[in-house]
Amino acid sequence: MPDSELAIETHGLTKYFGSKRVVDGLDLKMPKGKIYGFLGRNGAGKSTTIQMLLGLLEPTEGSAKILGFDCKRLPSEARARIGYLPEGHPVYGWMTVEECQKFQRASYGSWNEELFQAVLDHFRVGPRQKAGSLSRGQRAGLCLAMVLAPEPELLILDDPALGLDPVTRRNLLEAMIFVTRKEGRTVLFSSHILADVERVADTIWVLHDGRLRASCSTETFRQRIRRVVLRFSSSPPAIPSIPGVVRWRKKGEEMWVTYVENGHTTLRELEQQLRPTTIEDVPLNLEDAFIDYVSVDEEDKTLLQRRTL
Amino acid sequence: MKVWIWKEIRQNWTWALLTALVLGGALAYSLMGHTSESLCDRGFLTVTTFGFAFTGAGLACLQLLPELRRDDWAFLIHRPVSPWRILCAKIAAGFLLYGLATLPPLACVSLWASRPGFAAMPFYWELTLAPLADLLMGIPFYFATMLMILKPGRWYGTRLLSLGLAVLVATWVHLAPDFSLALVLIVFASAMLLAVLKGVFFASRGSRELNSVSKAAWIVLVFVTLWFGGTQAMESVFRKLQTWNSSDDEDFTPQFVLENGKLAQALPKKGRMEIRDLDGAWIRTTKPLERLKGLHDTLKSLWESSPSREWCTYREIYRYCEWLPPGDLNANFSAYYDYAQRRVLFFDHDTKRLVGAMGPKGFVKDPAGCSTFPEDKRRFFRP
Repeated sequence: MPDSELAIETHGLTKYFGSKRVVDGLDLKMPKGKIYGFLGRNGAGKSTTIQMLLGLLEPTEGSAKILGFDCKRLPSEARARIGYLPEGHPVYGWMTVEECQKFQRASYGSWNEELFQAVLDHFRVGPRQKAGSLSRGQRAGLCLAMVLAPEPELLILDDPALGLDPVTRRNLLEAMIFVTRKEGRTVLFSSHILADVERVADTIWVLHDGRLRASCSTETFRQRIRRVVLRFSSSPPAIPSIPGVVRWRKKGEEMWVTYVENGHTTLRELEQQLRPTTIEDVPLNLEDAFIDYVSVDEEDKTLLQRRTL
Repeated sequence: MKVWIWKEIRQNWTWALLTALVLGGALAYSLMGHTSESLCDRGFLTVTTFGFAFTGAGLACLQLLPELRRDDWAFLIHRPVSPWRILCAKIAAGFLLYGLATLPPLACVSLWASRPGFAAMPFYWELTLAPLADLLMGIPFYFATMLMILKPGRWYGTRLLSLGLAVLVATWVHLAPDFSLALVLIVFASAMLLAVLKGVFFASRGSRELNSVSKAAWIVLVFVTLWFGGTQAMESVFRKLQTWNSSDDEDFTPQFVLENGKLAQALPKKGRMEIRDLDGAWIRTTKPLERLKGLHDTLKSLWESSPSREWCTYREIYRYCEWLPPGDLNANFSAYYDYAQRRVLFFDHDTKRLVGAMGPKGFVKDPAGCSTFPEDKRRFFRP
């Protein structure tokens, strides 16, 4: 049985749909026992990457291993060790919760009934309720319960909080944190909601246009994406090509610049080349940092090519 | 596996039941108005041909389309169960549902048609072979539709190829002389389609490479469909062009009539009917629809000229019996020569029941006591 210290390992993982490159040469390494947040805009390639990791899509190039198994030929025993919650919380609407449990349980060797019931109780889901009549939050809870009950070693959650209100989202995260932290499981979850990632993830992967743009802790990410306001006595000049700058905007006599902190060289360059009257550091939370990092306007595309965290 | 079959059945049994009711109604309706050929009636077989094919295809759609979205598919597939088992469970449930939708209506209608008094003609259980072949033909249509849904293709033509094979084989099943050959064709088509389907399912809807067996099956499928389908289509077009200006007379299958106590052929010719003996020698030319007299006498010589069953496929009632046109147009009975029993059976038009039988020794009311004609010696030529 293959075993590895790494839960996930990819080398040059690439996927084309037709002529469109959706995932571009991903080199990922995810140690066991960690929680990783997978960030990226819609269409960044997160779900495609997850599907390749689970052997549901074949990579065009490169290779991937999950729990030491080749993703192209995942045996049943590997699948039993990987819990996967797809986007949109799919369940069979015509089944009752009890039937969902029966159906899911039949596929797995081990089943923690206590855990299943605890998650259901957390979301106030009754066994006789029809899955189709559950609220979005309850359905997410049911899906999470079904994924957690077999006690998988690795949990992959594809945007689990999608479409949920803040309270339900919090509930879902609490349930997830409670179970995974307690058991020391490995979790990879993709999300658009940065606050969730910030609360849960040890490390984040930021994917943009199919390429890995950052692989670091949330704290590092937040610290290294900086925003400054440069003030000028007249209209700001055009920004020259400065390595590390990811986004800039003019607002009257001010220029807002977001850059990747790289030993103060970018800030020094900005100061020397633009000669602003004042420079003010604006604190960024993870969400702002992420948005500035991946929200690229057409004119900024050249800038994007030069940065990788 | 059981829970998977249960899931599929729970999900679709109402549709199967509804289909059974609709099919049952359609089959009964098609048979009610046209009882001249019993279960081999063309209208009835049209319903079975299309009804069972659509049922098979529809069932495949019901089983796959709701789970086709990428996330739903992942939820279905990502389990510690081999994809083959999942597919097997789907197919097993599909067969059960298909059986539920098709077998009871066909069985009920067959039982109904077998009742004495249903039609003024003999009933043979072999007549159920034609609708049964159509029923079994629903299986290739089921697999073909599944494949069409699951196999990715750059253009729709590629996807439709699997359905093309099913249509082609359905045509062959209609033309096959024997049920056994039809069965072989159905098994061949099903095996090819299943081999490709298995590969596509394993390859997670073709997002991975097909295995070599599936690839080979796909090549055979493409070859058979394009080559034979193409030649068959071309042949049909050429035949149509050839017969564009010819009169209907030349394309007319001869009728068999009783001429001076012997069986003869009646061929339409320029608005008149030409009577020829079984060797093709001209006897006389008559007005159309003229019936020949002397039925009683000619029946005695039937043993000399028993129609061959070899020229009739298993889908025709004339494989089992031959209708004998009455000498008297106002006769209130129908007469059929039964090949198996080697005697003529008479049915009353009003009660539609068997009223007697005739052998070489004459007419008797009790068919059980009727003498039989000797072994068939003469065969008709049926073009």
